[in-house]
Amino acid sequence: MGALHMRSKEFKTITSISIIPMVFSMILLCPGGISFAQTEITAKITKGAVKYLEALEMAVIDFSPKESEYAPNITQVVRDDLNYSLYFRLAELDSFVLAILGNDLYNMDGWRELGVQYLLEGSVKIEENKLNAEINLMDVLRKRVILTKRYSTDPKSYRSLAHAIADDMVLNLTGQKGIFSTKIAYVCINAGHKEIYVCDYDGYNPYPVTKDKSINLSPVWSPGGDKLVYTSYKKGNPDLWMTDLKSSQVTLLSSQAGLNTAPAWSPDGKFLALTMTRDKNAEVYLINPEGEIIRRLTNSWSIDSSPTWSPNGREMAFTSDRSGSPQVFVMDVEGANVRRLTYQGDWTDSPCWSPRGDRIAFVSRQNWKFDIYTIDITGENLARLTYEGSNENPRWSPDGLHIVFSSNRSGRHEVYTMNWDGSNQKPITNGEGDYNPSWSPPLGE
Amino acid sequence: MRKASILLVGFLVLVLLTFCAKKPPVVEEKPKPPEVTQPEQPPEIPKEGVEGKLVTQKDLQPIYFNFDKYDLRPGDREILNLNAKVLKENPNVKIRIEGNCDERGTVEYNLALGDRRARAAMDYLVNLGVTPGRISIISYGKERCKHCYNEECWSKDRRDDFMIVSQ
Repeated sequence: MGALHMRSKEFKTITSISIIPMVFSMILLCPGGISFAQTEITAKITKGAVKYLEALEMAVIDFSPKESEYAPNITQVVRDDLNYSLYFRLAELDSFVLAILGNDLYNMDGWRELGVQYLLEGSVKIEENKLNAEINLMDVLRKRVILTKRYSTDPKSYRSLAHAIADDMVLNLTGQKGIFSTKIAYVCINAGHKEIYVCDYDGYNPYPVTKDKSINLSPVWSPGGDKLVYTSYKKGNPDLWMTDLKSSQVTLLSSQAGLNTAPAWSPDGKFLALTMTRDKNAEVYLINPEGEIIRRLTNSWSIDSSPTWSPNGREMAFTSDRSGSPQVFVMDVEGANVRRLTYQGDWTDSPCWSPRGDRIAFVSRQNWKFDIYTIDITGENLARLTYEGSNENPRWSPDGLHIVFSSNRSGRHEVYTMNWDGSNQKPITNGEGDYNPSWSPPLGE
Repeated sequence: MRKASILLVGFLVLVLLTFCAKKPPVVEEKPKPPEVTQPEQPPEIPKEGVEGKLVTQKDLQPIYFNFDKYDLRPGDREILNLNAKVLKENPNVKIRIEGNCDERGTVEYNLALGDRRARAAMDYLVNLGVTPGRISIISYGKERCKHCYNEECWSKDRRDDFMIVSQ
């Protein structure tokens, strides 16, 4: 991981742009603390040897024809996606690179000299009101095409087409599912109301899922990505509702007296964990997707809330103030074997278990503001990821390599994404206030 | 003997006069308001409020909480005592206690904290004799809080409101 972390910072322009303001804000806040803080993140992550992957070196040639309305846009989206991805490091086609290639973009020996392993080219065409694209992925070392694929879509969905191409790069070269077609659900403050919105993983194409003119909170995706479950006050109580994104059907899932909040789907989609105060105290319960209570999991005078499932479905992390102030605990799905995970800050909450199974993200408050941390499920190797503003609600991407969260560093809460190690933090919303995000699973196209 | 008879007759006449005499017309008095010193005594309840009008929102004051806490402070207990008095004098009034938090906590935990704050007030009122069926509770967590820069502002958000639902 040390190697990847250092190389990411050296080569990725997007990463270095976000590191600079981070470093400057640290200079302002604590002179003499900068290098310590930077070292702190690196050292704590490498201590546990959290190393996820080595990046593949790749280059994307401008899609042809250059005069096309869509080719430059598609090229840009594909490049942005692959730059965002930690699976690849993209070579920039600058004068240095072109000189080595002798201005021949198909000079495989030149690319090999530059260390590039894969080359992507593509062409687009409008035929009968459809946007059609064809790509070729070339293995530089073997000097041959290893993938040819065609795509077709409505012209106005050119971004989806580009995302599908980038996803295929990830799938074919790593065997993993890409995240470029995933979506983010979040709460959007709009004319004083709080509605659920969905946008692309990069913030484009936001649209409303609720139009209740009420308070809506905590949207979470079903494992199949076809349903959103959330809390809504539209009937005068914080009840749990479900919207089927394909049929637009809206169903009331749970309307127990008091809270029906902080929902979390089990990985197999058979259960939802949530917080309810029907027994006069905030406890974690299991319900099925029909809203029937299966069992109560926590049994303490304390507030117990914010459940999150392990990817193997056998354990849950949750927040409890049974030790005096809110901290993160872990229990099994029967509610037994409770153990404490965090021991810091005066308010620690919002746990989210990585889909990779090894780490849990959470927030902890110090000096009145929240920051995002990750920790091994054993409780070791704590890593702090944010330093600017107050940051809440970390939620992992389905590949466990990125985190979506909200931050008020710009003056009001907006939705941000970052890499798993805290690098490349950037906003993806810009409105009157957006927060409480969650990341969809890979969505079938 | 005669003196005794006269006295007896006189006594009997007196008794008869007392019990059979027409009572003079009396202006209908408003029932006495319950004395403050005996709050546990159920007062004679008029259909309308004490001053003859409906209970307004101003008659039920909010209470406030310390940071991260749901404990009732002594001054807030006094306010609850007054709210209980209004509610007991007006048994048709139903209220909803709304629990709120300031912005400096997380979304989900604050929903539970607001719920605790509302329940703390409800339990106190019920202990003073207000019928539980007249009170509902709801937590808004920090979803209705203001964006603040100082404690004076934040402290206003850590609050239970007593909203009249019907009367």
